[in-house]
Amino acid sequence: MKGSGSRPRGRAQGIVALCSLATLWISSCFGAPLRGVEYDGTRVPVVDMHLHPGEWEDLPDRTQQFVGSRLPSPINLDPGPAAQGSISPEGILSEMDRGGVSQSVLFAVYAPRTVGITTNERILSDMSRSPQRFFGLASLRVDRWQTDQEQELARLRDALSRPGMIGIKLAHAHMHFRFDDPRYYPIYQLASDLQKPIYLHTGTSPFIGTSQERPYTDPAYFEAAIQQFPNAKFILGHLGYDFGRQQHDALETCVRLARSYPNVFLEPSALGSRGSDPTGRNLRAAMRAMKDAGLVDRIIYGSDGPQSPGFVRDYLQRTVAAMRAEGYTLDEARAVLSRNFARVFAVPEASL
Amino acid sequence: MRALTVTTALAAHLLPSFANAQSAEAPPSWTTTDAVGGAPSRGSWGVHAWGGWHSFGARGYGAITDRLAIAGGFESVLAIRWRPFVALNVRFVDTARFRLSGEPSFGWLLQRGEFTKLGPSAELRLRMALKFGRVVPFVTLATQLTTLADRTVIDSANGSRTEWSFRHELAFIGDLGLAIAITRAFGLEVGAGYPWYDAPNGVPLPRFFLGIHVGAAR
Repeated sequence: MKGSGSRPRGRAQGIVALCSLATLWISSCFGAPLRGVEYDGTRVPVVDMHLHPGEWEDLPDRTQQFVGSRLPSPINLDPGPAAQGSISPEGILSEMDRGGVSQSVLFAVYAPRTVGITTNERILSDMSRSPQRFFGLASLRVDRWQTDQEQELARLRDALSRPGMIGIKLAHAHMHFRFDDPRYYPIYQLASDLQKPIYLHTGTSPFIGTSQERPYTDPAYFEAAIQQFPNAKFILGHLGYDFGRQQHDALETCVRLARSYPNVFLEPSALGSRGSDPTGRNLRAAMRAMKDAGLVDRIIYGSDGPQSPGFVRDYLQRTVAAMRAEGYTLDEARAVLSRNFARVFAVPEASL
Repeated sequence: MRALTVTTALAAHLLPSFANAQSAEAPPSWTTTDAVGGAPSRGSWGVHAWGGWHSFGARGYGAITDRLAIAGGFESVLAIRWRPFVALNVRFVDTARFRLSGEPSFGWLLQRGEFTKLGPSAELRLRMALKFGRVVPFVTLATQLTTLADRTVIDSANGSRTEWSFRHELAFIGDLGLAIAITRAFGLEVGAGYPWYDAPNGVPLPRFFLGIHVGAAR
């Protein structure tokens, strides 16, 4: 009796399970994409604070080659159309949907001798395609600083006055100015005055033409500026990673600076990608070091995508795996993936 | 390239008794078998054209002895990467059910588009085919080495100077397919492959193709 009764029930459960799976599959194909990532049985919203939009034609040749090398063969024979599909606002939204990312931050870049130029105006235009999901970081040219400083600062101030433009992006190594050069302190003063956080690329870079010397890559050289502008918020991107040797170089320095100064935040993007950290060991080491130092409330998630199709999702999955491996709690994961971002940039918390 | 040719030719001459003994047992050939397995008999000739995503190409051949044929043709990927070539096809094994041939070739890589590549290219290809009447499953394996020359012109206050540098590109190619002889002189094929250009960089995507064979088999 018991046996004959359990068989139909089991069959019914199987049918229900199949229907649920089918519904999930159909909704994932035709419905709104599922947002967030699952952590300890709960879906957590995600903000990716580091994405690069742009125009393929605006990239320098060497950057085009670098981007092309990340695409599968033979797509990389003619990488322009594929890459443009990823770095257009629609492409970025699609990549965000694939990863379950609710909101992201688009970076302006002015590094004509290395990674190229993505103007503030371009970022504002891209943001307008989806104001609820895109924020922007503005930037400025520093290669004619002696003559154009006032003009560039005025343009930056104007860009930062626009809705959604929530901070400043700088990459000393790509833009060829030292971390400890006081001639550029007016940028940090402006950030302090306007209460707009500054994102700093730290560590080396795979792009040809980068200033790879320590004053351009080691955040220890930035300590004087951090001290001098206690009301400015500084986000140390990539945790000083050495992308050439694929190993940590200034992780300890980043952790020390964040422990010493309440205005320092940490962003572990790019260093944990398949190309830069094939085993995932370095990303786990970074997540462990920051947690052990009691700095979980200073970590802001970013990927440095879109790079290639699927990268945004892949990097998020690798980061979540690293957090799980290092014992991050649900609250800590939520802080890293969205809550810290909202607090630091003074924006509403992202929802699923 | 020359070393490859000599090695393959020597291998063929070191195995003459085996190859001849087996070919004596072999049934009359089909153009389809010659096209996908190589090693046509003396006097045979044919043209083999194939295409699909993401590659296409054509190859003509003519046998000058029972174990040696000359071939020439081209391959292209997305009409961006082209490689015209000439080749020597050498019979290694030919039985009633199996054929194996080697094909060293010399070509020239011409890749246009945003990342131009130009340079001489050598390839060694193995062709294997099973014979089940009109149905001929086949496998081809190839490795390709291309030397790429980069010219840099530096304009300075002291005038212009030109610098040359050289790189190598390695490729591995594997194809698996099924060919069907419609008549002795005409056949069709369908297949898939995995060409890894610029190995070990990047992640390759597979290719899929259809092909036709036309010719005369002796």
